[in-house]
Amino acid sequence: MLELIKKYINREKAPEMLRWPVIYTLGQAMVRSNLLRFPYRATALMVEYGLEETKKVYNRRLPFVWTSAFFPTELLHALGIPIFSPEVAAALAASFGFQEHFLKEAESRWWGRDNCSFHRCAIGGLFSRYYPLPSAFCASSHLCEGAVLMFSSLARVYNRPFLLLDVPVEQDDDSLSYVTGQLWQIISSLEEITGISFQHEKLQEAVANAEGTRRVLQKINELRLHPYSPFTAKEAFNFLYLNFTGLGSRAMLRVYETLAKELEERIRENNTFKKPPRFKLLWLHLPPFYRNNILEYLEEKGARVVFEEFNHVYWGAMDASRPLESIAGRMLSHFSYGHISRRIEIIKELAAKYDVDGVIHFSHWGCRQSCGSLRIIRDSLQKEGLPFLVLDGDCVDNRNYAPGQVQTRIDGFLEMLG
Amino acid sequence: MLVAGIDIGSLSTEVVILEKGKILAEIIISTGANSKVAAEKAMQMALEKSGLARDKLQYIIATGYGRVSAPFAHEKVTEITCHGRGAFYLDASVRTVIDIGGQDSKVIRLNSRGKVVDFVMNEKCAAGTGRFLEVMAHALEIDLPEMSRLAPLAKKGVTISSMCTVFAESEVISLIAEGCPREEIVKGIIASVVERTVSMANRVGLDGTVMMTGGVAKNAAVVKALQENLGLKIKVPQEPQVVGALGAALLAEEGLGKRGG
Ligand code: SF4
Repeated sequence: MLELIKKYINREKAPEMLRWPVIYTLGQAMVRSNLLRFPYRATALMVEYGLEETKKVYNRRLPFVWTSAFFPTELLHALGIPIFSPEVAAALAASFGFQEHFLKEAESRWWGRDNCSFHRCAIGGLFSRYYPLPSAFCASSHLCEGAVLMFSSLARVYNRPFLLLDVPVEQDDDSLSYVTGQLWQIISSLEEITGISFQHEKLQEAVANAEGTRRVLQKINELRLHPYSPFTAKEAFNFLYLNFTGLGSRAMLRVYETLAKELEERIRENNTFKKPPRFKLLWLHLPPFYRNNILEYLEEKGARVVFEEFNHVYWGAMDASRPLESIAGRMLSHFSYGHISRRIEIIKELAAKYDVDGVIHFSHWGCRQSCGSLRIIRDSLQKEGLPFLVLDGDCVDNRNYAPGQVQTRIDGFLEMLG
Repeated sequence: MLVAGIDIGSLSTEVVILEKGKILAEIIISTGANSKVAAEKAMQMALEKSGLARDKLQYIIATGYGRVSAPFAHEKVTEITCHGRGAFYLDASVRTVIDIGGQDSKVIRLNSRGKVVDFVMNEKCAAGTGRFLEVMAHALEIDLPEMSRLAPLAKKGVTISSMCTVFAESEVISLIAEGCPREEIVKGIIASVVERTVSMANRVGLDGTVMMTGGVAKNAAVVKALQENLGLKIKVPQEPQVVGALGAALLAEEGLGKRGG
């Protein structure tokens, strides 16, 4: 089936098919009728939601936006504007094995292989008309500079508005009011672009959803402390789709509530791993999304990734009565932004909390923010006696992935832990 | 207690047979295109040399990038652990091991008990590896010992600016065409490998006695350049190429000891 679709992907007509609502309706029906099987009910709910959102962004009549990975999606959920996340779309393309076509398309248009492949893939997807052209490109400046440059460039190429949220490094009152002010401006720009009018209650609702989600996420993270926790890193990485697109939506809250309940049930019923791993590991940054067996291989060798940096709930309580300040506060509090000591402190905190034996950093080719301070991270972890492995690779472009070499490094690392 | 270690690298394959910590036989052959064939052949040669039948070997550990190509091995251990173990056995004051392998170069740090506590490997390309040296030697139409002989004759050495093996090769070819003396090019090539190794060594941090293992350690010019760059003395064992296989054999023996074999 996948091979058939892959064959189609090179054809001129294929991008058109993505616009057929029936595809998504069919997909949703398959999910609902259990024709497609998922490890959790929450996963099925997430897929259903994902299909609904995708249907909207491919519907030519509705306005929608591209958002960069760390843009505050609460604003868009408040306005009811569908979101297309190019990074998520790239990860999805890679997981289906379609990325190469898009990457080559981007490269042939002078987007060099030095750029992050999440972005190259997204650019190729847009150029080849597989990814939908939005009403506006919305990026935030924190963490990912690549997105800002790509979005602004695409906005110029396609003559669409580019909305930038500039997030300062300092976490003080001035920054808070600076970001809050910009959020207001972005809202009014979005009103103008889409013709949708802003309602304060909807924004409050979105922030209340985000706060509810934050609490459930914290609960899930606590459940993962269980020595036999059934929730694998692979599943956790799949749910990241929501973290990048869903915060502020009722759907994300519902998915995570369901997940928390299921995890509780499984733990209660001993439907968990039967024994604890030999080594517990913390994963930094993202994993590769194309077909690979890193996580399975670790498991096979008795090592389990028990937590991922990306699932850390870094922001504090959000107050629906002060919605924009709460969102601004969330933006400013990202632990990977600003002085590297912030990220290091969180890594140490997570390593201690999940009682890990070692830390793996997957260094994604072209991602400056995550790979920039590896030496400092390693030195700090070593002071704590925490072994640290850097795996060089690429999350989307499998041409930058050497399985044999990755395996040797993992083996060497596990031998070192043993 | 009879055990063996086999190190199947991309360029060469080595076997060491041990009896109660004493080396009975060591073999080095080139791997060639088929690592499985090389593994079998090297093991056979080592058995012949030691006058042993295969079933006398109680435990065999395979290491090196081709470690999966030795179906007769009881266990597979990475070259990181094996080089560390072998080097520590040869000199217990060793805390840092530098191994420039065929396609993987590494710097390994050991603690006072000889256990690996950290390591760094080259990124996924041939720059700074034995393969790089080999390709360049080929472009110069000389062999590796000749490289070692030529390097001290150079005055300044040229700069090879490309990290990529393919580009560096064409750079070397252009230098030859420009009439640049071979020894100057050789010095440049060695400097390029050394630069990569030094940056790895700095990443992992140098400590205690530094030992260099692997086939490239036989290249005196590389060792000399490394010593100058790192500003310290590097110890090279008598037969650096078999240290990985020796480490594998030692681990086989220790494992057997633990298991009471
Ligand atoms: S991997 Fe790094 S560069 Fe790429 S999208 Fe993510 S944050 Fe940006």
